Order: sequence, then structure tokens, then C-alpha cells
Amino acid sequence: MKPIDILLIEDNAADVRLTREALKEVKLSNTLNVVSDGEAALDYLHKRGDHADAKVPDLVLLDLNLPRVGGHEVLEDVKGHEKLRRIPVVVLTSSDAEGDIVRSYDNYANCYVQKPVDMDGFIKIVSELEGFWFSIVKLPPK
Amino acid sequence: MALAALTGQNPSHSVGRQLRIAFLLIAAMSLMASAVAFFSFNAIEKAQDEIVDKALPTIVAAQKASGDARLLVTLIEELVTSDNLPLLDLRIENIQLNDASLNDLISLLELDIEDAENSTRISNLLTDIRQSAQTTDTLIRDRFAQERARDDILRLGIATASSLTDRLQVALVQVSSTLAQQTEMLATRNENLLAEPDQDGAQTDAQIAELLDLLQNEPAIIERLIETRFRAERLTEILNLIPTTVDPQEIDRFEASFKLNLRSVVRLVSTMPDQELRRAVAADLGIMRDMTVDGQNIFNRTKLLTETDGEIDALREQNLFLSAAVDVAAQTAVSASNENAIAVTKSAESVIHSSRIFLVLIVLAAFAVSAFVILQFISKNIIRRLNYLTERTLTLAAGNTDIIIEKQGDDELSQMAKALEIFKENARDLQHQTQELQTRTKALEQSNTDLREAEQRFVLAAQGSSVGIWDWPNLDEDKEIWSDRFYELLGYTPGEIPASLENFMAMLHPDDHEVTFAASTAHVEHQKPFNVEYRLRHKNGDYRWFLGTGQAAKNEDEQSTRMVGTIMDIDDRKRSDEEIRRFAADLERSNAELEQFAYIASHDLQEPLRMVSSYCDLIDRRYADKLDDDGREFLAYAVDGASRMKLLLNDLLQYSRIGRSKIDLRPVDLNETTSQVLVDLKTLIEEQEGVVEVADLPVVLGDQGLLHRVLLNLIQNGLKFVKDEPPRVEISATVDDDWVTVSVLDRGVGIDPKFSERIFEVFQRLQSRRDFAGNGVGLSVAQKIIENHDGHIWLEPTDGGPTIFKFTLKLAQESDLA
Repeated sequence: MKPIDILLIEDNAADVRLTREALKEVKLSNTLNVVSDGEAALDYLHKRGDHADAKVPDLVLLDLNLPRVGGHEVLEDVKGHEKLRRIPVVVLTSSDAEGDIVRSYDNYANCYVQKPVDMDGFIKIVSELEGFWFSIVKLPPK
Repeated sequence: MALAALTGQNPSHSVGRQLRIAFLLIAAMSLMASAVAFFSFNAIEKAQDEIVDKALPTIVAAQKASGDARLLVTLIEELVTSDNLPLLDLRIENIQLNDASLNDLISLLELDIEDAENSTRISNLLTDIRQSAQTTDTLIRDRFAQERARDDILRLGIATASSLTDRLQVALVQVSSTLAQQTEMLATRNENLLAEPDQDGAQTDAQIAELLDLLQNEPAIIERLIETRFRAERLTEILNLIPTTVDPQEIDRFEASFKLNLRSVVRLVSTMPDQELRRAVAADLGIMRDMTVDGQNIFNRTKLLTETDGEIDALREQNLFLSAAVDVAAQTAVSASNENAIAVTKSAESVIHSSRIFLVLIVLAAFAVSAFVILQFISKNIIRRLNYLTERTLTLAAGNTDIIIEKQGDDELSQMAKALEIFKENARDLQHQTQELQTRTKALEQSNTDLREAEQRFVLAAQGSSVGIWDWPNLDEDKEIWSDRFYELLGYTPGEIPASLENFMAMLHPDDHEVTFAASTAHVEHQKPFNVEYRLRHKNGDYRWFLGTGQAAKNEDEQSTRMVGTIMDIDDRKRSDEEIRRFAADLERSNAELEQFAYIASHDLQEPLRMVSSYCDLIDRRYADKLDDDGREFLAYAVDGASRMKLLLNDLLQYSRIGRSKIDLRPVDLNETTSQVLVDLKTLIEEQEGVVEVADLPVVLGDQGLLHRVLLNLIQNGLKFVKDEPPRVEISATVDDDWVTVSVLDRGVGIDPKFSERIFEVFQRLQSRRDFAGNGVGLSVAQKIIENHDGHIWLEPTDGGPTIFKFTLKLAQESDLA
């Protein structure tokens, strides 16, 4: 089976690592590409600069608290783009603020998940996300 | 005011008015009765007049007419018996008079009886009678004339016949004497003849015939003379018999006899030798012959007279018949007038009768109305109420003021009752006032003593008081009295400056003029308390805060005449007040900052905590088997610390969030909210085998989510802090005006009263974490929520009894529910 391409947009290295570790625990083979700020994320998605030969990801995991260009702006850009908007974007953040949740869905986020505090919970969520997006859901062709 | 109402008012249904109405009614009834009586008497009089003026005269007239009619009959009867003209004239005149009178009477009757037929009959009869009488009159007059003419002729005839007889006698005597002369022998016999010519005529005649025979010539002459004389005497006899008969046949016989004798006389006379005698006798015979021819025919005339008498008799019969008819008609009139009179009398009687009944009825009605009026108005409305008022007045006069005076209507008596009521009130007041006066007199004596003491006390107090006293005895004058302390408070020695409003105003801070003036005006005009804080300039030039009070005294006319007041130095208090305000503001700000800090801190602390926690987990997952027992134990503590830290941060975050968002007050049905809470706590209740009893709860004003949290925390506590037995939590509420007090009761471990305040502080725990889980935030959160709802939460002291938490919330009003 073809490995799944996931783009993680996260500035916190510990979180990146945690995500990577959690993905290791799930069964599906996957490729995790990470960018640590919004600007880099947009470059990656639009294949600009250093990311000219980047692949179009199957799923985007987006943290909201990003330096330079924030997560909401990234979401807005992606969902405003003719082709990119097909890519499912999961907002994965530690915030449970109502404002963030509402704004994300207003910008057509595909879902909003709060990061759990403990590892077990985190692994469970990542596993569920994988299962949902790659086993149940039919994704658009690339 | 009541008196003014009494005197000022003019009651619509006054007794006077009622009396006037009553008298007017009675007078009107009397007047009516009089009027009816007048009309009744009038009717009676009229009816009587009808009888007297009409019926009676009619009867009299009818009777008179009847009498006249009878008289007329008599007169007419008598008319024919009139044997001379004056008598006839008199009788005719009487008939005419009687006729006129009768005619008038008939006209009268005609008017009154209205029996036209009878009247016409009488009139016609009278006309007939009049004509008949006239005819009779004419006839009788004619008869008189005819009789006179006949009698004239008759008298002439008789005279002529007598004269003829005389002449024949004389001739006879002459013849006889011649014979005597011639015959002496006859002398003696002459004497016998002369002595008895009549009785012894035959003897004489026989002697004469004897002598004639003797003498030859002479005796035949004497014989013829004697026969002639006899015939003449017969004529006289017939003429005298004529007036004694009315039989025409007898008259005819008389006429035949008369004519026969006359012819015999004429023949005898013609043979008389004496020529002279013949001539004289021929004249007489001519007259008598005339009596037998044409108009001079005495017999015809007599027959004519008899015919006239027959006509007169026929007229008389007719008159008698007419008279009888008039009499009958007159009698009819009499009876008609009698009937008329009876009818008139009867009608008059009926009028009189009905008038009498009507009069009696009217008098009875007038009596009844008067009696009713008297009973209704005077007896019922006036006398009874007057008696009542009199009795009440006497009772009041006897000093009994606890009486009830009933009033009726709005008239003078009612006004009297009201007045009496006022007298009663006045009397009662007077009694009270008298008592009060006695009490007051005693009190006054006491207060005089008190006053002296008070005055003394005041002077002492004023001297020792910390407040300055001012007195403005006459508001019309700018002159005040300031106490020594007043001066001292402002840094002056007593009396250093004149005590006046002007000086006070000069010391008053310009910014405080307005508020001071407004307060004093409000006090004087609207009786608002005069209590103002203002700044006065100290002698040293600094302004200090004072509390100024004042009280206006008023005269009888409610006019303020005097004011007394105090000033108290509150400068220190004022300054500390300001400081407190400043502190409070600082505190508020710092609280807000603290909440903000708590939020940010708890939120931002989540991130590193998550790392610690997550990586501890990861180590545990991946490397647990590579650690020894110590390492695993240390790791376990680290994991536990991180998870507790997480709970603490969560609670802190919750707690800090409560103050951050504005509460949206809506009606919240606590029954519903409690049910939801019990659903949330289902697991805990089952675990603990607990019971939660909920009474009927009201609808309050609040935020549903926050109140849910409060109830959740409190019920959870009740279920959590249990002794050995299964927990039992009771929830109830009471409503007091606009507020609801909710109480949550449990019989768990209980709370020492000395901790009743501390339990609401954040992170304060009374129980060990080992025995009961929790961070000690629940009650703090509950308190903060309730206080943000302007309510109050507390632990009800029960002295070792059950644990009761109570909190208050606003009751939702009808207007809120809409």
C-alpha cells in the first residue's frame, strides 16, 4: 500500500516528536512532513522556494499557534485556493477556546481536535484520525 | 370641614321641601275638591234651573193653553147667543184676545216641547177657529141687519093694520050713528052696542043687520064694514105672529092667510060707499100690499133670517168641534210638557246624583291623599326621625358618646344627624382632650423640670461637645449665634469674627455653595433632612471637611422662622473615605488583573504540562521495562504530579473564567437544571448508592450553565463527603419576595463551623486527598457564580446537625418569563 503523506504544521518540536511517535504506534504506513511556521507551510503547499518539489499531502494537521503567519491565516489561504481546498485540514491544537473553534469551522476546517494532555489519549486520537481519514473517508484524487 | 359641608350644602330632598310639597299636595287636593264641589253645585243648580226655567213654565203654559182653549170654546159658544151688537163686539174682542194669548202660548210650547205635529195642529185649528169666528161674526151682523130691516117693515105693517082697524071702527061708528038717526027705535040699542062693541058685536051686528034690513041700504054697509074690520084685525094678528116663528112653512101659511085677508079687505073696501074712507084705506092697503112683494116681502125676509140662523147654528157646531179639537191638542201639550218636565227633572236628578257621588269620591280621595301625605312625609320622614334624633341627642347630652347615629338621605334631618354626629365627635374629642390636658399638665410640669435640666445639660454639652453649634434665631435678620466650639473648629477664638450668614458664606468653599443652598431649601420647603458635607476655610487658609446639619423651627403658619444646626469636623473621616475608595478601586483592578493572570497562566501552563505529562507517558510506555523499581516509582510520582497539576490548572481556568464573561440573566427552571445535574451525576449516585430528593423548585433569573455548575458542585459534595452509610441529599427552596433561597442538605461528614468561611477559598481542602478526591475549587466556584448573580451563599450553622448550604437567587418575575 502506498504510504500516506501527512503534512504537520507545528512549531513546537516536542509536539512534532510526540505526533511522530504517536504515528509510529498506529499501523498504517505514512510519511510525515513537518513545517514549523505558517509561511513555510504556505510555501510547501504552493511548492514555492525550498519546497518547489514538495508532494501534495493527503492530510494536513494544523496547529493554530504559529509564529509569523498564524494557523487561521494558513487555513484561510488553503481553503480559499481552487485546488488546495480539497485537502482535508485537521486543526490540532491545545486551545479549547470557543472563538478558535468557531473561526476554524468558519474557514472550512474539516475538523477541530484538541490535543489531549496525556500520551495515551494522544495516541488514541492520532490512531482514530488515521483510521477515519484513510480507511473510512474517500479522498479526492490528487 | 364637615360643618362647612353642612352649612354650605343645599340638600336636594330637604324636609322643608318635603313639607312644602306635602302642604302643596293637600292644598291642591282641597282646591280640587272645592273646584269639583263648585262644578257639582253648578251642575245641580243648572239642573234645578232647567226645571224651574223650562219644565215648570212649560207646564204652566200648557195648562194655561188648555184653559184658554176651553175659554175659547165657551166664548165661541156664547158668540151665537149674542142678541145685540155691543155684546157681540165684546165677545169678538174676547175671542181675539184669547186667540192671541193662545197663539203666544202655542209658540212657547212649540219652543219647549218640540212637539211640532201637535203645535202645527193647534195652529191650524186656531186658524180655522179664527176664520170660523170671523164668519160667525159676519153672519150674526148680517142677521142683525136683516132682522132690523124686517122688524122695521113689520112695525110699519102693524101700525098700518092698526090704523086700518081704527079707520074701519070710525067708519063703522059713523054708519051706526046714521042708522040711529034714521031709526029711533034703534036708539036704545045703540047704547048696548057702544057699551059692549066687542063682546056683543054679533048681537050688535045682528041689530045692525036688523036695522039695515029695516032701513034697506044701511044695514049691508055696516055688515061689510064689520067684515073688513075683522079682516084688518086678522092682518094685525098675522104680523104680530111672524117674529114668534122660525118655521118656513108656517111663515108660508101666514103669508097665504095675510094675502087672502088683504085681498078680502081690498075687495070689501072697494064696495065702500064712503069715498074718503076708501082713499085712506087704499093707502094703508098699498103699504100692506108692498109687504108681500119682492124685497119688501116680510115673509121672505123672515125665511131668510131663519136660513141665516141655520147657517149660524152650523158654524156653531163647527166651532164647537174646533174648540174640542183645540182642547184635546192643548191637553196633549199639557201631557207632553208634563212628560218633558218629568224627563228634565229626572235628568236633573241624575246629574245631581252623580255630582253628589263624584263630590263624595273627591272628598274621600282628598282625605286619603292628605292622610297618605301626612303619614308618608310628616309621620314617617319627620316625626319618627325627629324622635330618633331627640332620643340620640338626649343620650349624647347624658354624656354617652359611644352612640351610633344613623343617617338617611340628604335632608335637614340628615344634616341634623350629621351635625349630631359632629357634636358626638366633638364631645368625644372634648373628653379625650380633657383627659389629655390633665396628662399634659402633669407632663408639662415634668417637662419644665426636664427643660431646666436639659438647658443645663445643653450648655454643658455644648461646652464639652466636639461639634460646633449655630443658631439663627430670626431668618429675617442676618445675625447668628455660634458656640465657642464652632469658632474653635475653624481656628478662631470665640467671638473673634461676628456670627453671621455672611461670614459663614465667606468661609464656605465656593464649590459647595450650590449643594448647601439646595439642601437648606429642600429642608425648609420640603422637610428633607438637612445633612450636608461641605468644606469651610480654616483661619489658617486650609479648607477642612465638615458635616453640617440643621433644623428649621416653624411657627403656626408653617413658616420657618428659626434654624439651629451643628458643624462637625469630618475632615479625617473624609480623607480616609477617599483613601478607602482608592484602595477599593485598586483592589478591583488588581482582582481583575489577577483573574486575567490566572487565566493566562493556567492556559499557558497547560502546554508545558502537556509535554511533561506526555513524555512521562512515553517513557513509561517505551522504557518501563528498562527502569528499575526506583526509576518506575519516581516516574509514577512524576506522572501523578503532572496529572494533578493538570486538574489544578483546569479548575483554576474554570474559576478565572467565571468572572471574565458577562452573565446573561434568563429565567432558569431549577427543577430542570437539577434533573440535568442528576443525569451528570448518575454514575456517582449509583456508585455511592445515594439518594437525591428534590422538592419543587422555582424559576429564577440566572445563567443556566453556571447554575448547573453550582448545583453540580454542591450535590457532588453531598454525595462525596459521606460517612459509612449511603448518602442522602435533600434540595429545597423558599421564596421570600423577589428572592429565592435554595438549600442543599446532606448528612455526611459535616463541616466544623470554624471553617465556614474558609471552605469558600480557592484550593482550600478540609479533607485529605487520600479520603476524598478534589482540589477545593468547587465551593469557590459556586460562591463566585452566586456572587456574580448578586446572590449570597453560606453554610447554615446547624450545631452538629446536617450540613446545609444555602444560596440566594432572584426570582423570575412574570415579565421575565414573557
